[in-house]
Amino acid sequence: MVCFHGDEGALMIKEKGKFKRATSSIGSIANLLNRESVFKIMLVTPMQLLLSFLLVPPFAIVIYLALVNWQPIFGSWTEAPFVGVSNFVRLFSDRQFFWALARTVVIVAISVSFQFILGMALALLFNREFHGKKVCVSVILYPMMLPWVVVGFIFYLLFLDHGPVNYVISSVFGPGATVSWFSSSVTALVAIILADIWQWTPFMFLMSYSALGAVPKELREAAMTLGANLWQIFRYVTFPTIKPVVLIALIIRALECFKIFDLIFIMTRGGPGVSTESMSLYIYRMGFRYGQLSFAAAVAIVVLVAISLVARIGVRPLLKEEL
Amino acid sequence: MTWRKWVLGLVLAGLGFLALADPVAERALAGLRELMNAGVIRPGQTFRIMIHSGQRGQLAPAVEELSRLTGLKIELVVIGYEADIYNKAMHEAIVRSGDYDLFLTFCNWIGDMAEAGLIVPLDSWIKKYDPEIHTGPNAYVKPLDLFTTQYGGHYYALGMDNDALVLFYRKDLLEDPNEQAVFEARYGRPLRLPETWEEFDLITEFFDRPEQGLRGAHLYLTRQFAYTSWAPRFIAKGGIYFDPLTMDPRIDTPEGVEALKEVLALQKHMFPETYTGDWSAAYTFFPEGKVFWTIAWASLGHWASDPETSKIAGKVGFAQLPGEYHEGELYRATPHVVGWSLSVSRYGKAPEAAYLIAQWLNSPSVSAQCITRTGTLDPFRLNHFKDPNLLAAYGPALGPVLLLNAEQSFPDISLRGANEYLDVLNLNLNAAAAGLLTPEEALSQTARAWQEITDRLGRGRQIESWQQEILRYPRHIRELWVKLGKVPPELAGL
Amino acid sequence: MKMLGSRRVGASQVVRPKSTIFWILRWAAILATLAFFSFPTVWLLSISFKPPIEWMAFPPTLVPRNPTFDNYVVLFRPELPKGTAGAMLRVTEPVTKSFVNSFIIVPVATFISVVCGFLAAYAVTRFRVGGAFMPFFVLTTRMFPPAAFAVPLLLYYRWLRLIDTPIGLIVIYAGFTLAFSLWMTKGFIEGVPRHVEEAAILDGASPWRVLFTITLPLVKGGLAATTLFVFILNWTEFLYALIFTSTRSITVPVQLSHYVGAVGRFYGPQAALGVVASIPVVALGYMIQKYLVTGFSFGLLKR
Repeated sequence: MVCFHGDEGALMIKEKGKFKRATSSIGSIANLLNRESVFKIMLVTPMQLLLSFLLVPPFAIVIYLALVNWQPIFGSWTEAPFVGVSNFVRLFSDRQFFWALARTVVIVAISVSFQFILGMALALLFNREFHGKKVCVSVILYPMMLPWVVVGFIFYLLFLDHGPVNYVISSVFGPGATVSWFSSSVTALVAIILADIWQWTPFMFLMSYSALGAVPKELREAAMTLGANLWQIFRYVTFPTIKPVVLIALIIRALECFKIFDLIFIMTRGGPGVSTESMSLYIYRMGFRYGQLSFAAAVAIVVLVAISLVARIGVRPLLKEEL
Repeated sequence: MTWRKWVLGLVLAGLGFLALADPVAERALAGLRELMNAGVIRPGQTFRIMIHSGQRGQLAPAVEELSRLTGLKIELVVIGYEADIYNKAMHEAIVRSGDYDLFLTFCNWIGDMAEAGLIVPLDSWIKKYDPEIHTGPNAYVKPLDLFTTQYGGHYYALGMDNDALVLFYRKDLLEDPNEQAVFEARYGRPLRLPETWEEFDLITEFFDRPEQGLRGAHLYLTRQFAYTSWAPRFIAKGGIYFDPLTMDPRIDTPEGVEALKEVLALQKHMFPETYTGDWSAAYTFFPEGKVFWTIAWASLGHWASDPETSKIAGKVGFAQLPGEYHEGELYRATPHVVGWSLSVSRYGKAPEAAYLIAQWLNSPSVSAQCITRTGTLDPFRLNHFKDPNLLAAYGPALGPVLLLNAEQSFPDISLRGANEYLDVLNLNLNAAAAGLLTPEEALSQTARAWQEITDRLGRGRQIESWQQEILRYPRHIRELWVKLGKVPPELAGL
Repeated sequence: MKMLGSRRVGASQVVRPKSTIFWILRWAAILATLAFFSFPTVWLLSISFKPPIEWMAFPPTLVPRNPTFDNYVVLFRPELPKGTAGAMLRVTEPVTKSFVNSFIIVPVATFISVVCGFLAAYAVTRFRVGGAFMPFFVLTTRMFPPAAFAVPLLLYYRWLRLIDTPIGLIVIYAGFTLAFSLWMTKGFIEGVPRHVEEAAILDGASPWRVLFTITLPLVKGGLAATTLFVFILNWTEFLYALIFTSTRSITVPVQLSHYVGAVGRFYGPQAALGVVASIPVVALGYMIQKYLVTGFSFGLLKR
């Protein structure tokens, strides 16, 4: 008997009749439900329904808004004049947009890298039993469980010029070493990135940890008896097994981090000036504060297309067939 | 603290009685009863007012009382961040759900809200029910009656607030004879409350003593309110935001640049939180005794005077903001920043009834009681400044000073697109405070952005609106503009 | 198996000096990590017990000089705290309504999201339904900046009359977290060897039975982690909760934003509410920990 992947990618047994025979004895409705084609459709239908219901009409409105010139103070949205791609043209000559984009990319790159390394390292550290492990895991997971607003203002208060962080720094290194964290773009971003790392490393930890729990112990033990050291075990046994989960976690976290908003809003409001504005904050300022909803829609579409292209590359290994 | 509860209870108990003695409130109630008799509104009908959480304590008892008096169900919908009030109001303009009947918002948002079709003009109802805005012993403090109620030549709101800023200072230090002697010796002039901004800067420098844990001043340079420190100097020097004929920005002028340079020069005497923190930093530093003086809203007055929340209770003085001399005359200018006012939603089920609810809340007696319960709303009618309970809550010295500052105050930009104009100004001033831009760059970049906004919104209409707004500035400022040739006499309404 | 284990212990005992250093290093690393993760949490707790005058005071003190329970009391009984500070804090209703709403909306939305996502993930992994495009398309739902989607969605919801209703928020939360549910469970399903399922099919099990009796138990850990994460996302979500509710359906994060007043943000009650709001999530996290160590040892080797 040979197993292979058929046209629909389903598991097929060469003697096709065998499959059918297994289910022919059950009732006809059950028969229908158990047919692979019906089964597959039923699996994805709830999701498709939900997404179509929720997303399709509003997204159509988004595209409409991007092609007209509308602000609420101009009047009704249905009577807005058509302007074609002029919103997009305006976008590409807006320096603040490109700065926000670049800044966001930098934030994501640094923050997610740290989170990944730290989360993975922690998961490896915790991958055995010891006293008080459950409590330690709860402490590590805690930051993720707080509302964004709370994380934001906690770090805001911590990094204020006269806050605890500067207090500790001045106690250890002397008063001259204190940093006015929110007075310049770079130091403010450091504080923001630290807040993001604090809040979301638990996620990478959680994903790595649960993925590690699925690594077969026997493989590791077999490798150890063969004389492999810790690094080799990690590289050749552990990592390939956890790769799908960790990679997905990384991609998801990067996507989320790209939309970083609440933390920056609470901590600096994008200031000083607009030097800590992220992409989401820029869109919020344009769309909500200034009411330029058409322009904001155009920006969002451009961002969506840009991220999709980048993500496509990153996601490709995950969509390849599993060997 | 139960004696306070008793006082409050007595005040509340007297509410109904006083309301009858207040013709404005009485007209509102009568109007509501008429509408109910005519079947326009029914008993138990719900009315919702969108407010900021800082006003809930002040308005909730009044709203309950009115519900009892009329049989209607009046609810307060509380929103936490001020910016979100604007967002939700604009969303309501788009969505028209009818979920809200009244909005209590910044008075300079009225332009946007009116243009979006969200709120209805109140001219006919004001004529019919007369809330005594301009006339009578209980009228609004001038010129607040113009700031918080009008846009584009029509009435759109009833003001509920007075946000003229006040100068709070350490009375004990200013009146200390030793300090006065040293000051006079060093600078050759007496130590007294400043008349000009130059004096202000000198006194700030004098009282900046980091080694003693006292800094000179705390002025807002934050992302949200930086303009409140720059604008009073700019206006007092004779500056004007826009040209009255062409709507070209006039902020990157010598007055503007000088004003900004002066403020930035004070940074070495202030904490960095002036531009890294938010507006509540003043409410921490000043009551802790860590700065000599600050310019902030009236609510800091009682926060700093209450021994429970302040280390300097009893040492706080209140003063007018300084100004500039022009040809031997002193012109003071105080910014009026925010100023909550009530507007009526077009999409509510019964706008006239909603207006009457607003008028009742706005009436001299009811508003006095609301404001006595301290919060974000401050005294704005003449009778408030004679009300013993209210003065006791604010501190007897604060009242007269608040009145003086209100009389010399000028409004925020209240045009269509006000949020945009002010936000761009703020972000550039904030960037200058952080050293990212020079004063000239900050103001010229703002001017360029303002031109773009004006063009996008339609220059012709903006010119019209701006010419109307000029008329709301206090008389002495308009006189100064005419004197300096900034505004042609026929547009100054003198 | 046991013999294998004891041989391992034996091996490490032989190499004792090296393992002690490792042991010390490991514990140092764990303690350093705990310190980093707990310091802001401790600061949060500290603020929740401080009166207003101490929230931004300097020099900062870890232990409040005048500790008070007012910040917690004002959440549930706003009328109780006395004095000027108490009056200032009294800015909104008790938090009970927001908790009730959150406890209804979030678990339902999480359940719907995880179930739909898991089923779809199985179809995508095992049967390549939708090919390479559909799962990626689902992922794009997370790429769109929420602020730009809010007003169009608001217009749509107005038409559906779903504004300020629990159902409205449930649909939004379930829909927007579907991408997570699908992609996260997808990874875990891929870790389950196919031949286990194939064996069951050959034994005559229907696809449904294979899914629920074979695959599901093997991805328990992944499902637990996904559920926790989706729950957290929904529980702490603020922007859409604010935009799509006004009075009836406000959730805990929106309630938290109400603690702002005439003298600024009220960090004390916000901190207290942050702590209180995290308790259900912590409880959930603690409960799922036992599912996270599946230790897949069927004695079967992965190919």
